Amino acid sequence: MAVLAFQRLSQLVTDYVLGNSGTITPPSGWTMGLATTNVGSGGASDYARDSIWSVTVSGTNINEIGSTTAAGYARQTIAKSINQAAVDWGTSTFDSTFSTGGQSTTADQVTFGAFTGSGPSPNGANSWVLTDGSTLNAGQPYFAADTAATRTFASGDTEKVTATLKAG
Amino acid sequence: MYVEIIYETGAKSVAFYDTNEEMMEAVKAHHARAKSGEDGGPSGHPAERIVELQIYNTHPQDLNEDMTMSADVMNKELQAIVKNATEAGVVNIQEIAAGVRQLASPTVDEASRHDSQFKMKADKVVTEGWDN
Repeated sequence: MAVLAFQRLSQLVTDYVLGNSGTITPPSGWTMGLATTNVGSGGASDYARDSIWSVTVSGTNINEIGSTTAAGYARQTIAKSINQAAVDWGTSTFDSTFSTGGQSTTADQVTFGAFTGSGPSPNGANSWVLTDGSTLNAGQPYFAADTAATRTFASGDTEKVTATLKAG
Repeated sequence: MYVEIIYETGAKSVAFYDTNEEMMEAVKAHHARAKSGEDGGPSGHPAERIVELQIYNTHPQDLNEDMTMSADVMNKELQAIVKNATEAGVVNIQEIAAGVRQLASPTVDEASRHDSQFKMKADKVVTEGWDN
């Protein structure tokens, strides 16, 4: 499963954590969105480190499902807390492996849906994206991962996603 | 309209529907699957019974997207944060900073199983109509 950390996540480390920036700051809360596009492996239409949300299907743009017809789709909230809110982050753990180690955290499972009619348009989620804000195809992407398979939604469907980040 | 769907398991999701009819179609369909023991979606997870719908005009995530508040409210909140963090007359500055940042959070600190996870007050709460 391909994963990618976008530029903004790295910039939070350099500017906010190290430099106490007052402008490059974490959002008030995290949201998760589903996209038709892929993390992939760096190809022309895969994600890049500086990919942006866009309704335009082009290059490395991240295209969100449900942007034309929601049919139940909306971004889901992950709170900025640890083991407190209904859906937030778990206690982080450490992997000391020299080459691939780091500190990991896993969010509580989020639920999308329930979808209605013939599902959202565009349909067919191929990746999830940790982002901010509720407006579709907007906001900063922070990290993303491909779904195990393309998820095409129909009436009554829900979708479960669990996000994990390893900071190494 | 945005609808926070609260499931019997304690899971919660936010969905966007254009009409009440659209909302009820989705909720009825998923709830019926749960009663029949069917899958909830293409991932193969179990469907979950639905206990409540909290309806909002805006996504409840957007409670304070700009992360601003009046100076008067901030002063009051800050006093409470400092008071709670004071030990032997001393406060940890990072703890104060974390408390201030949390004021912008759209979610409550601890939501019980069937309560909303959001600070935003729902415009309407619906507790029936999908269990045929």
